[in-house]
Amino acid sequence: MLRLPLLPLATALSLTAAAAAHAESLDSLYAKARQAGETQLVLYTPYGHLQSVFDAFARAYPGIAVQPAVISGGGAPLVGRIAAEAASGNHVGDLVLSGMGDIATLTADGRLEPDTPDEAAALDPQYKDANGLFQVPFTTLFTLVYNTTLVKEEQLPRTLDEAIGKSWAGKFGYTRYTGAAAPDLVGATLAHNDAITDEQLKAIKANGQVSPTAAQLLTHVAQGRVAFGLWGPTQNVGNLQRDGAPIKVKYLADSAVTFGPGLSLLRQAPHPNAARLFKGWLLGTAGQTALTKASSYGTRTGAPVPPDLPALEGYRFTGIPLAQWEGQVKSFRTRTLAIFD
Amino acid sequence: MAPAPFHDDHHARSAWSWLRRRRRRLWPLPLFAGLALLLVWPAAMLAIGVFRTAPPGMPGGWSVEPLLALPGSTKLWSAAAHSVLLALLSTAVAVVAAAGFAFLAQRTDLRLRRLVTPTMVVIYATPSLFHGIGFSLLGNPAIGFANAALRAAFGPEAGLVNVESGPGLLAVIAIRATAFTYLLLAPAFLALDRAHEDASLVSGVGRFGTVLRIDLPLLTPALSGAAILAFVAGLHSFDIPLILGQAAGIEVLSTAIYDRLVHAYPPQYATASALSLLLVLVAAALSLLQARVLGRRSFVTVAGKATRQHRLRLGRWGLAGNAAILAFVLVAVIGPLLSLLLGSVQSVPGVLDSFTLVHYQRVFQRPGMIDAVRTTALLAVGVGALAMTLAVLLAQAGQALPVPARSALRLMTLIPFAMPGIVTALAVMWAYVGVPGLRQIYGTVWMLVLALVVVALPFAMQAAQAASAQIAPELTAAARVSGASAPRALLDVVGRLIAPSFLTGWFLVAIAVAGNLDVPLLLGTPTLGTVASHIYQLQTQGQLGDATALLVTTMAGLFAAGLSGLGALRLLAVKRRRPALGTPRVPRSSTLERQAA
Amino acid sequence: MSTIRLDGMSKGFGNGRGIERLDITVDDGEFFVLLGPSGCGKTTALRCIAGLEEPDGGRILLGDRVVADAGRGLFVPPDKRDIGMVFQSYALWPHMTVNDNVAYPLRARRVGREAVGRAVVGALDRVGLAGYGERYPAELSGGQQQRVALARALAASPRLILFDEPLSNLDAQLRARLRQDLHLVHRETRHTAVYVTHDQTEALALADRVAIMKEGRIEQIGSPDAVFRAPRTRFVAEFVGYENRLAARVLSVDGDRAAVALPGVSAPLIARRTGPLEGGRTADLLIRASRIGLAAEPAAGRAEGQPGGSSNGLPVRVEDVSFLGDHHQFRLRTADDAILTANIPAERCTPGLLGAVGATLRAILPADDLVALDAAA
Repeated sequence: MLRLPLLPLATALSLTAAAAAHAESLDSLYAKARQAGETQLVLYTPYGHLQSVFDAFARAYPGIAVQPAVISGGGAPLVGRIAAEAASGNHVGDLVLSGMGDIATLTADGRLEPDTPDEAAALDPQYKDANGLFQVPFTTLFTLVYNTTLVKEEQLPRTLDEAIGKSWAGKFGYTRYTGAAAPDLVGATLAHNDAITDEQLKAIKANGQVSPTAAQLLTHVAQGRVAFGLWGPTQNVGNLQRDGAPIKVKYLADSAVTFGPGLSLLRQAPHPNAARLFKGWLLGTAGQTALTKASSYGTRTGAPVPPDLPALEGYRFTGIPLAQWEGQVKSFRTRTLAIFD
Repeated sequence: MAPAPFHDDHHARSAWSWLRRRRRRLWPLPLFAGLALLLVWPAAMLAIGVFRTAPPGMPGGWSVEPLLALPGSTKLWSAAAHSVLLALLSTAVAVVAAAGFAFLAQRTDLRLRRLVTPTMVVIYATPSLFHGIGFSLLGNPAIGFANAALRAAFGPEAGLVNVESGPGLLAVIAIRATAFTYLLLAPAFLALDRAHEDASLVSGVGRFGTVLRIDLPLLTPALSGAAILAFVAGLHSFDIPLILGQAAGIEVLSTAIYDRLVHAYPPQYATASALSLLLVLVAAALSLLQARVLGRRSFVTVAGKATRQHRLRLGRWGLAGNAAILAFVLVAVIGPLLSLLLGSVQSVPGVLDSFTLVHYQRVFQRPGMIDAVRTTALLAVGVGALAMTLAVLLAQAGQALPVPARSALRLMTLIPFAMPGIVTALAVMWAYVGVPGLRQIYGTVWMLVLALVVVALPFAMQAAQAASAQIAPELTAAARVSGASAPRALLDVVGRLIAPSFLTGWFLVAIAVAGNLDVPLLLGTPTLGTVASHIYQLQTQGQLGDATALLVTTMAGLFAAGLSGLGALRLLAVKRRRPALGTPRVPRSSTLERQAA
Repeated sequence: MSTIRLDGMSKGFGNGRGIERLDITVDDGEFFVLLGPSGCGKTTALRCIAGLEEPDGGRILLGDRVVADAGRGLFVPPDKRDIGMVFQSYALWPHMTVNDNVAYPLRARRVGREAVGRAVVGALDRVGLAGYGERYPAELSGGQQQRVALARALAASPRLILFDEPLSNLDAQLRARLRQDLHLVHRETRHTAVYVTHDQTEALALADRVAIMKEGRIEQIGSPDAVFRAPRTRFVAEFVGYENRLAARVLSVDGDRAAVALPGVSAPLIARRTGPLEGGRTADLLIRASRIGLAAEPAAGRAEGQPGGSSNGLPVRVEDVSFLGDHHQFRLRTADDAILTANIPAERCTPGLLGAVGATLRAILPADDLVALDAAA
């Protein structure tokens, strides 16, 4: 759940003071990283829209490059990769930035290293782990994305049931459910809020066209293969629009979901200082601003709404508490397995 | 003569001298050991992996459950059915089409007949990744270029072409299979004794009847051999079902294996291994059958007098024949190529309004891209050299070995034929990650090298065998008699003579390695990628424009490399303008030779 | 009517050479042989008659029917010409039995099954292979395979049978035997035949008429006897076995005789001319090795015999003698430094003759056997 962007002055003042103190600890991490010869850090993530954020970090801390390894969809490939590294002893990855399902699995497998940067103090409790195993640096909005040449805004459905009904049969797309990737987390959140029924899932299967990944759903909408897509990852829409794609976001209040990935430090990371530095920076003001410019909703109190995305008015769903993540994802998976596969 | 007292004071040395005497017979041992490590060990570990409950390298138990659960899984049965059906149908189409094209190219006077063989070579040499994405751009039902053209011509309802479907998938696989089969058939066609056809013609049977009654029966061994190989290749196809089949909801065995390894958590190693083993056994059985079929006394004779063959005049049918060739070239080569070119300069591929070069700019700024290019180039060149050298050694060794050892060698080299790339990657994982000590190579380029050498070996062996066939064993014998040691003779005689074929084989293997997708996809790491894996990942991340730009650049690079290679070979040939060794030379005085050189 | 006519037929070989205007007529039932070295165009001419190749110019007629006319672009394909052909490599189809091979042309003509069976049996009978019907070609020897090929060519009783060096792949003994069989078969069936070979023995033994070809042109056509005894050009003479050639000058011509003078030889020789010859011209004298006689050189001053008789000779020095079974071969050098080869039957070789190496003898060149050709022929 997001705080509204109006803050008590006191909080603001204390945060500013804290920010000054924390800038020091970031600088010391930077010095340590330079001393240890860490010129890069490897980040495993399914998010492919964060290049501008990495560039901002590189400008702030020259000499350390963020090497993102984008593993589409996250889930099994991501977790499997980390497991294989642990098994072979050839550690490559430093940080993981992925869905809570993956974080939960990695926690259970003992792959994560606790690390609580000072900047985490400004986060709402729901965005951080008590044991420091992860923090949530931003949230993503998943809602309807549509092709502007095929559909006018007035013609768009207003509710989920309208979108997946007979009138739009064959004209909308959804992402394949694989178990722990974005669409599964969206579904699990909705299920946690009792906002999705099996009948609706069946209607999606019957009337919708499936895309292999969430990113490809956006491509299919942009190409006009479908008129709109359910639960598109809106953080990529901006890039597509800049490329000239006729795609826009429509906020469907009864089914839009936001949640964020967990950012964790991996055990036996080869570049621990650089990794900690990046983590801390991302949770600080500079990082959060960079995130907003990259179409993500910051989680630090006071973070602005991304300029090209809707303000989340009336958003009423609660996020899944961490302890329940694995259970919720698994139970939703049982439902999707029964209906889709 | 007094008997030599060997037996009393030589006991201590007897074992060593025994070895020394047999040293000459033991020379193949290192070769066999190396091959066993490279080929037999991973296959064996794959078989063992079927029964393990943990991933390679992790402590775990044993279980037969995944194996027993296989028959009950309807999804896997349908994947198997899809694999078999695709392989069968594509082979049937390929055999008919290839025979037809071979006939048109070699026995008729069609104006376009000279296009056929180069087209088939281009299709075969193009990695299937390119065909997958190219055809996807050309024929997807919503915004494929073919459909756009059809709609422009015939109105908005005319979107007929859908490559993301069963028939579409079959068509693309069949096109590749046709090229593959044609290249196997064409030499057999050429080797047909023309006198047999002449005899049929003068006996009163026309051209077409002669093809049916004389040529095709004589070609039966070559045809059946090619059909079996095409079937195995169809079973193994991975790239195209991955890119086109998933969109159509069609799963085949190879993508099912990949899915269970990559998209399931925890990865189902045992199930994937069991499926792999199944594929390998079927393919191995078929490959053995093919060897037997070709081993039978072939009816093809080497042509005697090279008489000029009167080509069949097709007259009115010539139009249809030329049209068929043109259609094939358009659909199989020009269509996907143009689609890729066009898609790479559009802002969003398929949206025909704006043109931009942003994809080309972006793709090379992508982190890890330059490394991937470097890795790909190194792998292509390195694996190519390794595979070709190994293949030449095998081909030469095969000639020199006694029959039982030769059969053992042949059986071992059957393994890479039977294993599709994805299975090889999995087997290599089991073989090396699963063993403490060897586990260090996981995530390094060496694991890629090991798997790619195995994958490349069939190509390399084809090239090496063709090259070695040019060399009469007498040539090496002559070198040995003149005093050269065996390796020396090998290098001086064989090496020099087959240099052009060796280089050609190296180049073909390099292309195959550069375009290989399944191995880097499974064995690469997020920081160790190849161009192919980057292309695929870009495509799945929805960045189709960038993927296409990268594809086009890679193809241009390979093409340029090919042209320069051809040029280099030409230069080599011109410089060495002397009769080949092995043909008698008119003796000239050495002074004259030096003057002429 | 199964005559053949080549009317100004020409065909290029693609390397600048080719057959120029060939004019040949083959009569009904005639056994016509094309004889020549490899590359002379004989096989190409045969294949043009067969329809396996198309002439660039001229016409080909089989009987009354024009089967090829380059000027009008007319071309009848081989399967429509009603011919049979025997190939050098036999060209038996390995995947068919002997019966099927022989039956093939019959089946192509849609002959009924019974008639086919009878014709096949008859054909195999005629070539002496009765009972071999169910075998496969690979099980037969070379000679047997060629007989099957012959049976196949004959099976449908075509108007014309073509032979493309059919005996070249056989060893000498088999060749002789099969040649005789071919001759017998032709006597029986009396089909028109065109036969291509480079072997003069085959040509002379089989032909009713023989045409000697060189570089795409006919050098001489005639009966074997005429060609053998009266070659008109040097090429033909050498091809039909005139091993010896001497240069001479024509002194005078009288009917079919010519008086010629050899350099370094005082007495003129009498030779037989086969073509136009004029006094004063240079001539080639050709004679077979088996026709040269050897005698002791007459003592100086002794009267010469009649010109044209045993005195038609010249002094030669014996350089070498070789034993070749039924004759001895003498290598002789003339005063003009030309080499003559003489084959003398063993029974006529006296010990004196055999030991004459280094000695000077007299080579006798009988006028009937000495052919004089204009040097430009």
